[in-house]
Amino acid sequence: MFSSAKEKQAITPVFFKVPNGWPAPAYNFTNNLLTEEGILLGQTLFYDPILSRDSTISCASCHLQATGFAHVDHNLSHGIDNRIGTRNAASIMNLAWSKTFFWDGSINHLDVLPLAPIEHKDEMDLPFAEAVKKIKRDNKYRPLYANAFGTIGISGERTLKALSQYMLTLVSANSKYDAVMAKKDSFTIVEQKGYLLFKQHCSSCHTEPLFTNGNFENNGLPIDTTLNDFGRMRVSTLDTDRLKFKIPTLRNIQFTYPYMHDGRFVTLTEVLKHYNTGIYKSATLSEKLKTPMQLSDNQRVEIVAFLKTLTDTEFLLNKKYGFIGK
Amino acid sequence: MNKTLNALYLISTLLFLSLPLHAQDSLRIRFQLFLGNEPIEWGKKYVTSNADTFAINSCKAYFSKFTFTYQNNKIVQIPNSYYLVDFSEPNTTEISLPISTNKTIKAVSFTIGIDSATNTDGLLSGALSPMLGMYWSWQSGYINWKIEGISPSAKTRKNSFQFHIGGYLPPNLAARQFEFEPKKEINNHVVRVQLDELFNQISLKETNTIMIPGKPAMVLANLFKTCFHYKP
Repeated sequence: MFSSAKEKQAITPVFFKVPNGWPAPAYNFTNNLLTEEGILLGQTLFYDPILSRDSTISCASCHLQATGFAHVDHNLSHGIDNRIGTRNAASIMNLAWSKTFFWDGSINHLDVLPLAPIEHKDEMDLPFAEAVKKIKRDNKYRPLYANAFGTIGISGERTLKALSQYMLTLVSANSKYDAVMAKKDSFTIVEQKGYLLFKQHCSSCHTEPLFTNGNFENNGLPIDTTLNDFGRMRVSTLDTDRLKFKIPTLRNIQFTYPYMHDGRFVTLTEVLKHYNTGIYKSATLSEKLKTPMQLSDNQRVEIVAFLKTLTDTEFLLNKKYGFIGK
Repeated sequence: MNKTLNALYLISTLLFLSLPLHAQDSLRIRFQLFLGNEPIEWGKKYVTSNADTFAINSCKAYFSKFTFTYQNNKIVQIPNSYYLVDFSEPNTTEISLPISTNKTIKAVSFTIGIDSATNTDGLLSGALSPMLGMYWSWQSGYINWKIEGISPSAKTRKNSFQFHIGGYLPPNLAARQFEFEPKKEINNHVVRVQLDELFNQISLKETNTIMIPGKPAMVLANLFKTCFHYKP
């Protein structure tokens, strides 16, 4: 009893700092208090291929820090045995403010999110209970779990909580845009013009400061008939959700290419062209896209210049989030 | 002073622990799975009123959020009352609910399945652990109940039929409520799940594989509810 009390003291609480002017997080931290030891365990698991059937694929295989934890240069992400999935792996940042996860919002809480890629046959292909058994057989994890939770024991619940803790610390709020908002820097003339255009044409969905309002919209992409992905409709079963996908954050968008749920656009120029002249009209098209933007070439360049101010180099290169291995 | 308090605390704790637990401290419910007039036999061949031959191999269900309505109309929900009943494991089929007052209980109600609020609470342990085969990993949500078996009418691989019924998003909320008025003077109650009332209402040729939320799951959720009967 006394020894467990002693171990409990060794846990180092971590204060979750909400950046100035940001809303309150959606994640309920009272059920999963952040600690240095918990985050370290989560980070170790995130970079460990032990969570896949043949120990070849880790979370980081498709979520690379330097590219905003997205799967760069792959329109559709690939997993175990070189199998190709049906979606472009999303970036991981500022998840504490997300109420739903994945392009179709099929996941309703961060704590249960890892179950999906771990068990998916095209991703890590391992029943979660088996993953926990594998972790139990690896000696390095016994002390990591004990340190993180104060008592000895490896369980599914602890595994998922630790992964959440690490992912929650992936906060990107230190871009040039943030410095400008804090009056510590200023936009160039082109960036400033782009910012004003952005607020006029984009920010009702990509709402500051998170650059997403968390909703689902049909953004006028014609369906890819090789995938027939109807997005949110699969989850809600509602016809009104046909072709709607989660509005992604635009933070670090410069490095999270390719773009859209199926990664069909490689460059931001292509994305802007789509919104300007490529909108495919269907019954569920977002109200906000029904009027053409009619941007000039220069204006499109200005918006792209602004979007690049959302790059947070400190976040992308911070060693504290990086690989932890053997 | 401190020592006296500690001693008092210890004595009172020991006294409390040594008190016998009286029957009226809890209300017990035993869940029975029946086909016809008899408890189900796993793997035994039965015939529905639609002439489908079938055998059941497993049946698991969540029963949760138990609520007592007392004689004075006060309604009390039993905290953390989440139970996963595996009908093939007799030790899971009887549950015991604590009674906090000696007032008469007029009605007992519970949810067949897991409600929407619990579904969106994130990571839960115990009976709600996502490692018990009753949680969908590909799309968040609990499976409220599962029935699996075999029928030659089901033209599926190995003639298997599988019902994994759940759904926490409107309009496909698959949890159902069941309520009964417990007979007085007894503390051991029986809720019987009369499965023929479900199987007689479906054709296993057409309805044999439902494993996602949606309209077909809603139909099955309604039918499953009709199977529940209080047996004093």
